[in-house]
Amino acid sequence: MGLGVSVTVGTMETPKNQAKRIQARNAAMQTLNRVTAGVAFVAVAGVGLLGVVSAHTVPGVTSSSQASTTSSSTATTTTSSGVQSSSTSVGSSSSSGVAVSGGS
Amino acid sequence: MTDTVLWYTTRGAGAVSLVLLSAVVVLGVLSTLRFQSASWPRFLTTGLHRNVALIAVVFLALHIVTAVVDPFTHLGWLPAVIPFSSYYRTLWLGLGTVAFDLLIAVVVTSLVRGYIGHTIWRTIHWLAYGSWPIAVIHGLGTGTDAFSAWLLALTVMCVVAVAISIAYRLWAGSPDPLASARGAFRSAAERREER
Repeated sequence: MGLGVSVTVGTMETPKNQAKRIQARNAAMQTLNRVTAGVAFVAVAGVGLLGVVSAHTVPGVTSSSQASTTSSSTATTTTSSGVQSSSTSVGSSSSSGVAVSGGS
Repeated sequence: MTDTVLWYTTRGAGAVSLVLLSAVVVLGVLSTLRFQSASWPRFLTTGLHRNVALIAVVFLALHIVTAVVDPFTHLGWLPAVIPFSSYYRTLWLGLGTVAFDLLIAVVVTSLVRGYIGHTIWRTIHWLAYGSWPIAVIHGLGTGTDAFSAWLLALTVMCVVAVAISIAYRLWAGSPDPLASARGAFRSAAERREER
């Protein structure tokens, strides 16, 4: 029993210590709230900033209108070339069919 | 809102989500190391880990919603929750869905931790270690500009930060001398509750 009493007295906190602990906890909670708000703010700003950076660095998009026109012109040429190539291939196939027909 | 704005917001939110998720992993590792100083008590690390995780989920939701509603991709809502169900970049997008589903499992079980018990919560929480690398691979595979210098630098910084924290965690071991005794006590208490 005597031992129990001494343990109880040993772990008791003075009001001064308790107030200090409460103050420290409140300060830490304030820090947590500030850091969380800061992270949220930086994240929102980050979405905007990285979105803009992404818009400027996306492959195939250039800032000057002249370069954009050139790119478009190149694309048109490629498509046209593709059609020509396909047409040639069909013609060649047809010619080959005629030769086979003549043989039989 | 134009398609272009949605597209850029998707990518901005994706990059920010990656940074936030990396911060969550690093803070999680720091909290297991019981890091503290005079001005930084231990519960601050745990609290920040939880708050940043919730912020990350919000930005991940923004990333997903803007991608789904973007008329250019025509993704629909199903690929946002069911992995590998998208016609568009099926594998890479599916990995993102897997990472998101794992993260949701981790967040939800953390919110109901008091009801499910420590062992189940801890087991599911380990999924976070799987979710993060899958998210990184999703970013590298799906991202239109994943290999542009700025995004590559951001990804490398995140990977290095997480790698250092995990390496330090493995090197330092458990800083809690009573960890095994505490774990045994928890398991015994849970078994008793189940009876």
